[in-house]
Amino acid sequence: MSNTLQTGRAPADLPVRAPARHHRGRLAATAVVAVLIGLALGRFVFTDAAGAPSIARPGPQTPQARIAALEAAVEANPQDLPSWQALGGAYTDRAIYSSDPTFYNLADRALDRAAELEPGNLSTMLGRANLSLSLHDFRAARRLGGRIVAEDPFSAEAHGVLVDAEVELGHYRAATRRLEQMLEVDPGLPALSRTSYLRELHGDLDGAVLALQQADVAGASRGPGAATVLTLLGDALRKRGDHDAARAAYERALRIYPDLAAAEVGTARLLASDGDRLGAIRVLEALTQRVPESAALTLLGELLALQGRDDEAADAFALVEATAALQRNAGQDTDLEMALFAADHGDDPAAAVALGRRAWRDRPDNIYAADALAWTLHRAGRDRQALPLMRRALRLGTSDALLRYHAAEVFAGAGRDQQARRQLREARDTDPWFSPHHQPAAGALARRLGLQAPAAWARP
Amino acid sequence: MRRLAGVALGALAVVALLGEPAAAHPLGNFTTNTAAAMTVHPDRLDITYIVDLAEIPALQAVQRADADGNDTLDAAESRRYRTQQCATLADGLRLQAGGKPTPLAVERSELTFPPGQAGLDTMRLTCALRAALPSPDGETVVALSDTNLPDRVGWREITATSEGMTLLDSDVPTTSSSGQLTAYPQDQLQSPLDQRSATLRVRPGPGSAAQTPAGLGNALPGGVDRLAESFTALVSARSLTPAFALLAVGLALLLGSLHALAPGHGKTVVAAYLVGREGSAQQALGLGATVAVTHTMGVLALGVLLSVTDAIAPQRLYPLLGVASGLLFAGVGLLLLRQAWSARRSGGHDHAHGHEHPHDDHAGAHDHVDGHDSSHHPRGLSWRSLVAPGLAGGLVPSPSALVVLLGGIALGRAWFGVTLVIAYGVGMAAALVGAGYLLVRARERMTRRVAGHRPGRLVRLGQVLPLVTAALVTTGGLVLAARAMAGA
Repeated sequence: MSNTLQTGRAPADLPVRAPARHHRGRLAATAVVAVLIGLALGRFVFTDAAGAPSIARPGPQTPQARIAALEAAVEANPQDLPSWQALGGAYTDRAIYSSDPTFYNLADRALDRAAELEPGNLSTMLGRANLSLSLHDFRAARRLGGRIVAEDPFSAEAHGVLVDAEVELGHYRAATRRLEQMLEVDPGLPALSRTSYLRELHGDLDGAVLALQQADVAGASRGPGAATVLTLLGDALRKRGDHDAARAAYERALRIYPDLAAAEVGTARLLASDGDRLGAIRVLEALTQRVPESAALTLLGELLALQGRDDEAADAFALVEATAALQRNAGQDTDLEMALFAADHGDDPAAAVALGRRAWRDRPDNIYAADALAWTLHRAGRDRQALPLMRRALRLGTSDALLRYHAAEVFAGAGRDQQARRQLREARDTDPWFSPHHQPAAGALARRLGLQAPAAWARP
Repeated sequence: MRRLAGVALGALAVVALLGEPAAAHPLGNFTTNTAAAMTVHPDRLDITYIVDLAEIPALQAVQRADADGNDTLDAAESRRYRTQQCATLADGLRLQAGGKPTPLAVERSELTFPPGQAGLDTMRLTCALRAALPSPDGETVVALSDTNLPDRVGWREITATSEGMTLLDSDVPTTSSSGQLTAYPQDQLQSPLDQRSATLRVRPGPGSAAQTPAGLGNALPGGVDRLAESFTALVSARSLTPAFALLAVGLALLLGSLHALAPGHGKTVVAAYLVGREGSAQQALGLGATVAVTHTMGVLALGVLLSVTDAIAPQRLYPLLGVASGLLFAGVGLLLLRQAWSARRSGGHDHAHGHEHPHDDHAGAHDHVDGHDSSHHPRGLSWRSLVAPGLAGGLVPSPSALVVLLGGIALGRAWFGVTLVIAYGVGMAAALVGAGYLLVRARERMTRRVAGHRPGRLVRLGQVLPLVTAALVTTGGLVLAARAMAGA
């Protein structure tokens, strides 16, 4: 691990507490992991600490209601350790789900109270580890996860934290080892969704779908968990080109959990892929009026721009920028996703590169951090510098059309047309609808490289 | 001196405990918060409806209202936006008066952009709404349901007061706990307010039930007078200049003395006690001071308790305190009755049946009257015996004092509230002492006059008065206790 790029700075911004799926899958991934960890933490807390009646009851449906119930519990009894721990987890979930950084401070305070009540409690430490993941302090998360596993080797949740931390830090082999341990301890929903993600990272999209289908069957009885697994399944199916199956998965997810933003974004992507751009815009406008979430706003802006509605697109992008400004103001750096956003929609390529560097520093050797930095360098016209990073990003053979398209542009920019053509073909064959924003440019590159472009890459 | 320092430290601790409100949005930068402040008038209902949009929704709103796309709202755009929004919001408020749906009309609207975090603006829309109410003959039920912005996350607040109408019953507080969405309670480990409906019962007639700080709702017993109401309004004035503070303290003094002179709370009983026991002017002072000190401590303690915990319900506490106070009085009265009875018997024997030994009787009376404190003159009042009636008189915190204190706390001016409550107590003490002194003097003069003209009567008066006052104190105490119990 390279230490030269690391500082002690507490990083953070984008709520990723686990498999950070790239851009489009990101929202779904964070939501699913949030819910899974919420469930896991709830169960862990319950089995770990006896006499926790407030946790024992079936949890209320919405995150807000759950938070309110827990706040009432700790107000009634400030010594209620399990409720403080669960509250820390609930606030963390809420911060991730809403991308509103206000809740990180609350999570921090709740976990501090729990730590005061019983120093060294493993559940509290697990909550802290999850918060560290969300705040992008992956090293702290790995340290805490390691301490928990040392004391309790059967904590599947702690193994999960270790998997996530190793993935973010780019230690994929270590992550796979940890995952195997996790699967031995508890081959449930959380382990299966991580299995799916690691398979996808290693280019096994079919295996990823299979793992999620297993998770779907395994978690059929659990509401929100099942819904988010279905959303991830929808994403994986969509990437494989199975649009009808993907739509069915999203619909099932929304039936279980009507407000699941990730499933709505997935639905919008499908609509756009099938040519119904206006329908997609309608879905996203309704969603972002309710939850002004950056990933949804970015997609909305891109679709509006393709429709020639530049003013409205600029409005959507301005909201993304404002959210990023608020996150920075709250002491949380916005990195990976904002780096890509700045490269694609910003007007200052150098600033985008700076964000890309930060992303890389927080996640040294993570393939998507390498991709983000390479892409910002490409947009700044520095393809030669981007080249080694891009190769690093491709090292796992990940089947991700956006990643492959980025690679194609970088290789082409550096004069490696042969490699560029191979990457672009890979992107086309994986998922030609990978990004409404990039598809026209992908078409132009295909024409330049003499590659047959699909209909999806036609000019808007 | 040390005790004084202790008190000062205690007051500081109270202030620190209650903390200063801050303007950060309670649920974060994505929230849209609303507050509906209802005021019922005899012929109409006014609602001030405020929408406070945090940074992100404010930006979204500006984008929608910005017709010419220059990213700012000019006067015309702003006017169109607030007019449209207020009309929509008025529609979303479902109002029923006397069971009939009643429409709300927009009277005025205002739009401002208070600066928020990260150099972004927030947005504050104020809609003044009005509905005509059919002039009610008797009680009317007014019900409001806020259906606006159902899927936006945020603070939802409703408050209700009345002017020229009596607010008999309300399930919402009368004052805003967020300073009308400008100062949200800062400690965030508590659920945000989610009040989306209100039901009020009103009746023609003056006054309303207390300007109760939010969260207390109907906690306080009704009937806080109008003076207290306007006083609380004064406390909540935005700027606190020295002149204004002095005025407020003066008013608190006046309010306290008025409260002390108003009927109820056993003041008459205390007065009767003084007269019957032939207390001195100094002892009148002592009694007044005891009542005031007990009362002030009680108010402060209850205020702190109510501010830090929801565990105690004041509506349960009040009857209990009332019963305790009444029983204490009754106990004092019974004691007096016994003393008066034996004193009368002994006095009677002195004249009618000369064969008995006066000395023995005297000793017996002495024993009964001042059994615990024989160093005092039997006919006067011992300082210690003042404590029980003093306690009884001050035990029940006056709602208006509590309202003033809680009003100060709710506004983040706890220290000011404490000052005012102390001033209130001083006013109360002054009035009680004054009244007590007057009573003592009046008794002395009456005694002298009667003694001058008809000495025989004096003896009879001297025998009857203690008995009458003792009976008065006993019944008074029992009535107070019974009333408190009935109110429970």
